[in-house]
Amino acid sequence: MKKLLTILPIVVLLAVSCDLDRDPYNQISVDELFSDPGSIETATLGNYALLKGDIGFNGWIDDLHRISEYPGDNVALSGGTSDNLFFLYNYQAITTNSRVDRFWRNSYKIIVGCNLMIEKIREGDSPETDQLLGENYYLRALVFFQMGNVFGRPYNQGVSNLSIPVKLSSDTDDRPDRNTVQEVYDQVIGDLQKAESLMTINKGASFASKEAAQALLARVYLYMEDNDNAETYADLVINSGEYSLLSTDRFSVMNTLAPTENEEAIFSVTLNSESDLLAPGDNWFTIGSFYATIDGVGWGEMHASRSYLELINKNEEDARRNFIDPDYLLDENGEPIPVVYWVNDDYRYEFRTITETGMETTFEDNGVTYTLESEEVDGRIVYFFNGPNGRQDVTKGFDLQKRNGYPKFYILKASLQQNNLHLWSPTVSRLAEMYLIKAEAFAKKDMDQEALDNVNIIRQRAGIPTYSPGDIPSGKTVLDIVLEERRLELAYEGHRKFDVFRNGRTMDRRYPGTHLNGTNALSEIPPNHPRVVEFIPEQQIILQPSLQQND
Amino acid sequence: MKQLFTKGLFSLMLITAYSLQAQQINITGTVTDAETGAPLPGVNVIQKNTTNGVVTDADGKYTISVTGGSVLVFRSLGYVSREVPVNGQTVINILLSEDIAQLEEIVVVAYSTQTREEITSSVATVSAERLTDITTPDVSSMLQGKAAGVQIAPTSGAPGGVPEILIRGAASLNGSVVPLWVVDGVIQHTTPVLNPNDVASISVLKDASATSLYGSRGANGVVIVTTKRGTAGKSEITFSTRFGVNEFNDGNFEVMNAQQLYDYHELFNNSQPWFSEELLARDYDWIEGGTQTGIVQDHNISFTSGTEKLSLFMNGGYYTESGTIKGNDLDRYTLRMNLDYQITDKLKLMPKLSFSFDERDRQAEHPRYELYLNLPWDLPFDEDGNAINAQESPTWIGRDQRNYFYDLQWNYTSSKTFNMSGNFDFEYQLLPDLLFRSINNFTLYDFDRKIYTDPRSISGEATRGSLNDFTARRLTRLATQMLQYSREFGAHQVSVLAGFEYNDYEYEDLGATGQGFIAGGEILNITTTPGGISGFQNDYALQSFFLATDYSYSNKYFAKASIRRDGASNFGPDSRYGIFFALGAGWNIHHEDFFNSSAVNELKLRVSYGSVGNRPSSLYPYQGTYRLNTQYDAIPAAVLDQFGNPDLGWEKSFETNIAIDTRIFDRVNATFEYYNKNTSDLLYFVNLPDITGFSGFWENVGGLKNTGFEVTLNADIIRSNTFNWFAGFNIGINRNEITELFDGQTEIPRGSKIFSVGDDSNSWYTRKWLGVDPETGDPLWEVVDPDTGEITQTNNWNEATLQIIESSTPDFIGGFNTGLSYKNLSLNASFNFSKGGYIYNASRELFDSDGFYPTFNQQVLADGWSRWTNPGDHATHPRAVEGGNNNSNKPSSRYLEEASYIRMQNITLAYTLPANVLNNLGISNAKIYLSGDNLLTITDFSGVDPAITGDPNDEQRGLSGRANLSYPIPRRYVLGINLSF
Repeated sequence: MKKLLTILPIVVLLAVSCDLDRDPYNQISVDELFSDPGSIETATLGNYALLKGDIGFNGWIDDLHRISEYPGDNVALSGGTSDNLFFLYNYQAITTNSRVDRFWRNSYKIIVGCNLMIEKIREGDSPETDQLLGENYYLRALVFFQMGNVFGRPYNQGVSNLSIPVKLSSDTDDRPDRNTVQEVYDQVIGDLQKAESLMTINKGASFASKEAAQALLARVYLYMEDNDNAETYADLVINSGEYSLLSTDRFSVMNTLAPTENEEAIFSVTLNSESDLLAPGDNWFTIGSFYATIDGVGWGEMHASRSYLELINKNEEDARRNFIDPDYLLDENGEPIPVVYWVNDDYRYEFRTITETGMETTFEDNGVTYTLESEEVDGRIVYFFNGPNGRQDVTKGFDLQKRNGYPKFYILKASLQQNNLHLWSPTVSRLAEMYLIKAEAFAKKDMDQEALDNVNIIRQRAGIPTYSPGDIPSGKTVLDIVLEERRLELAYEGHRKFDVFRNGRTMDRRYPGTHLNGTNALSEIPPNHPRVVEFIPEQQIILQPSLQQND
Repeated sequence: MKQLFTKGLFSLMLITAYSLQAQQINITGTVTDAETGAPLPGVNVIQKNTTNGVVTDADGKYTISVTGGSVLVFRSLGYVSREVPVNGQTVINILLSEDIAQLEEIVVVAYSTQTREEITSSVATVSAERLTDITTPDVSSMLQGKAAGVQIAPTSGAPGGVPEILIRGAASLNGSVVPLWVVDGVIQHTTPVLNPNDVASISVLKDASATSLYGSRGANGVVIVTTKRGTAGKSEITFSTRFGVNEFNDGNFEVMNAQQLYDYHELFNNSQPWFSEELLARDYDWIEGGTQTGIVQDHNISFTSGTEKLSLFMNGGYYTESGTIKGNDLDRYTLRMNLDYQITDKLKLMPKLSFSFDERDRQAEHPRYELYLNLPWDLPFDEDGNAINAQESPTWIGRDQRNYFYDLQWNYTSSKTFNMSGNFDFEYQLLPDLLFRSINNFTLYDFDRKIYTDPRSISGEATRGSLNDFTARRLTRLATQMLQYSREFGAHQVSVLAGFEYNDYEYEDLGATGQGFIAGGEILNITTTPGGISGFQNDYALQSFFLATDYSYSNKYFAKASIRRDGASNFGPDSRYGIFFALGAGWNIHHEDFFNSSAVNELKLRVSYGSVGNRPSSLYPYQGTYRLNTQYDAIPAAVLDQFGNPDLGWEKSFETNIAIDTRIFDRVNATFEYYNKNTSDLLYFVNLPDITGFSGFWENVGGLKNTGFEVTLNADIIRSNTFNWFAGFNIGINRNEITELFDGQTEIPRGSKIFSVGDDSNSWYTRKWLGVDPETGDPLWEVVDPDTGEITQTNNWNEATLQIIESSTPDFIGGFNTGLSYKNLSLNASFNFSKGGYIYNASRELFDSDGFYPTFNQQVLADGWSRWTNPGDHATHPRAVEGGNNNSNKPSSRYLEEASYIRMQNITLAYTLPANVLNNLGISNAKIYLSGDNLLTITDFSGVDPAITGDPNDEQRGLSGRANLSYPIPRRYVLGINLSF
């Protein structure tokens, strides 16, 4: 016993060569990953995952959506928010916007991820590896293109304006400065054409394909006002036979369709109901959450703008009205409350409860009783009353829940995929856009009939009357009609800001919303306004002082 | 402490008993307290200049066999030692008188103990008595103001909140800056959960020479906790109980009531249709609704017993506290058992077992966000007292349309935390001078949490109820094997310690959510659809060899040297090991013959120098990796993640410490210390521009310097049989300065702070607020022309220049305490203070927003603040504008506030019942006391609590200097009783 006790400590002292190797469990070393031949697919999927965000939010597409949609005229914000998206919405840009910072960061993560794959995959090995290589070219082009739209001025404002640094390697010492708009467009077109030629396997709308590359090329050429090429590439997609427009009925619930169920989806950044937004709280961070409160989930702070509602309400049967969901206020019996409402000269909503007695409809305002009158204009009934300042047109409808006095016209386009709260696979390209690209290209070439033909394909599908050249309202051009239709059709899909400014038009935001609050509020933003583009993130300039800031 | 010393000598005595020689005589006697006349157990009776000694029994009696002409030394902790020549006597009865100066004579240091005289490095000690004046379950909170140079940085006043500790300033830029904890020789993974009543003493090792033996983990100082042990010859049951109440302590902070908010909205002519005088009919105080007077109870029953061979300490504790913000209650159960068993002359076993169990059952803390920001015009309850669903209420105005009371009816979070630590420690006397010591420990941390979301609640509506179960487990293992040699050669005393240590850690967690169940369900089994799963794991391991030697000559000269070689799994195979060393010297001048002063009783000079290391906070920083925690379209994916650096190595600090310890007029103890700590090869996460595709990588770059001065004073101002008055004071001044940065850069901004050569590493970097334009009421910021340095002002936030403005590091910190006692009555008070140190009061962006958030409640302007209303007004606050005034509430120095304060941390009035009363009741000691924590704070800070210097969610926690909707430390009133049998 005693001997044992003497020996024991010595044994313990000698048994000292412990192994200190420890490896992370949620990461894999670069060398280990690429020792597996399947790794190029896994790493390419990683680049898609960055578009989407690990579990369906905070990805590249999320910030892009907010940067491209919130400065548009389809949305109205109902309050202040501590989220920096506020400054995207109200054009009071700051140089440290966390959303813009993250968009920049995720963009280069994807670009470098793609560059690494482009360096690793040898061209011509097999159709499968060429497809993967093509997908990486496509993803890189998509990111360059959209970054260029966010940080560089529209193409027609000058191709020598500064855009974004075109980074083409995985080398961390390769840190280019900002290239010109022309150089970025050249790179995007080159990458997309390379992608188009490499990809031969269509894996469905969740992945890049030859047609996805062509669809994006059509848009790129449209933005450059190379109308012939825009039309050519749009036609290539339309004629590929891979896609068809949804029927009106199915279109009216397009938001509920997964990309695989949507025959007009060309490429959507796919959220999968099996693997994304699984935790109950995840839904709060989504794009859709900011547009609607569904079953108590979602901020529902940004609503359809008055000007968009007026446009879409012109045709009651418009299938796209299904993407707007007014949140009605109910009385004690659970019945909606009839009201009239209008927007006053200060761009504030005014709501008045109406009383309907027999044939007469009345309401009170400042102690005075007014009678509601109506007349028919272009086949629609317009309601109005004669107030102290003359005739005031009003909307007759039902009272809504309000936030800070702003009625809640929820937007559903970014929610309810497969009926899951705020699940949505943001659309990058879908077939309807191809017709609208053609329409715009034709309109710009003064081919009015061809332009209207393409607009009518979209209108017909939406279930509303088509245009013939004689129907164009006075004071409007065919291009106006095309852009109006584009706005109606592609609202809340991240096009509006770019569509307005690249066409040299002014963003008209004379409607209720908190963008009109505060000092230096802007109600109209001309295309040459400095804030048409975002600031380069301040921290990036600090780390790379040769980067030039936007004005 | 006392027990440890006793045991040490006791063992020594046993070992050497055999070597005693002939001509022995037996001496017996009793040792008693000179003042009370009570017998003193546990007194060491030693034959001078030998290791022959015994310990007095419970009645203070002893028997010792010594040689005829020898001298007996009577020593007991806290008493003045006495030496008595035997001169043929066979009965020697001795009176010992108390010596306050020597109360802390034995000091626990790295891997051993030393007497105060022997120490050459910087070690502060805090006794159990001094520690536990305030009522809290957390030992680290108790250290505040009690040791010079030790900064305590709390993040929350919630029950069981644990602050960060910073010793002698931050010594790393991206590595950890918080100290290492060691409990009874066991290195802890994080701040341990300890019952303060178990603590015998705390040593704070401050300089590199003191901590160098902890090598790679000593860079930020070490807090060594020694728990209580049984005392030989004394059996006692002690029952102590405290009962108290917590009050919400909102300091200078106040939110608006209905009228105040209405007046404020009138200022900016609120244009909303809901804004009318009718609002004044509704006035709800959300803070009052969400806060309460909480209850605190702390009960302990401890048992100590000891014989010559066996001694035992056991303590069971129950602590319960309900927070001042409703819905956060802590129940903590603790048990500790320390056993010392001298099995044979050579072998001693020291098994230890302790656990703590925290239960937070069905908690739903009222959210401070809504308490501070919900409008007084929004009433949470209808006429019948039912909580309103704000989403469906047409009259609700508040920005988020959230009434937390609604979901609070059903939803809750429950958690259980179990910590268990078991030691199998033993010592074996291999040779008379050579001792083998072994410490072997397993520590298990187990955490379970359930989040219940009721199907009826708003947050449960979409999922038809959800249940989230989360469990986490952490296992740390430690084995330290040491050989200790000590020997005296005449006046020379040498000791050598050699050791090997292995320590590893493994953490694993698992979470799962189930959705859709009938209200009231509690287990995943009854849910209908799966919600989401999570799992995580990480680990590390270290192994070390160390060698330490101490030498002293005649109690006058002391020298020490130590070296440690550490390997850590954080580093790549080629740079895994680092070597750390220390040197120290001490000179007891008062023992010199030439020193002859009646005023100065003690004078000691200490000098030391050493190196210590630091590991990166990242466990796997050296490899280039893809991360795997992602997927696309439900297919596993890999994302390029970490830029590797296989050469990454240790961060090293070199520290010099110079100190003088003195005692004058036999009344005043004073210590003055100066230190200079240079840290180089900083573990630094170098930020890369995003264009590289990486956020950055770990690199050893740059340098950091901390220099400082510390003073500790303790004085017995009046000392008599009936009336005593003492006072203590400590202060620590630290200057932190970055000496070098990556790649020769002079400035590296990082959000609202900056690393700048020559400046404090916690310097703020923000836009400089210039106040309000008297003409327009616009906010103004400073613009500095980068070329000319010309200074102008702007009302455009974007154009304002980012610049260094103050830092979150205090200029100095400290504490003072004083105590009066008259007969059986005593009154003690302790204070702490902090000067300088700017807090970014981030939540003011929300509740001091000049109209930016019209649907958040706002802070009432603090004393001295004013609002601009008319041209010509010289105001501190800009014109209020609906929707905001020129980004006036964006980050700038406007919200940087100096968080200087003096706080009366505790005041206690105690009465000890007289012995003659107690003896009849069979009670040996009884004390009753009234105590108050946090009753007084003097500060200009506009937030709830200047001592809350960070946010629990912040990476730097309490050291971030960023206050965000803080949970203040409560005011507390406590009544307590201690009884010993």
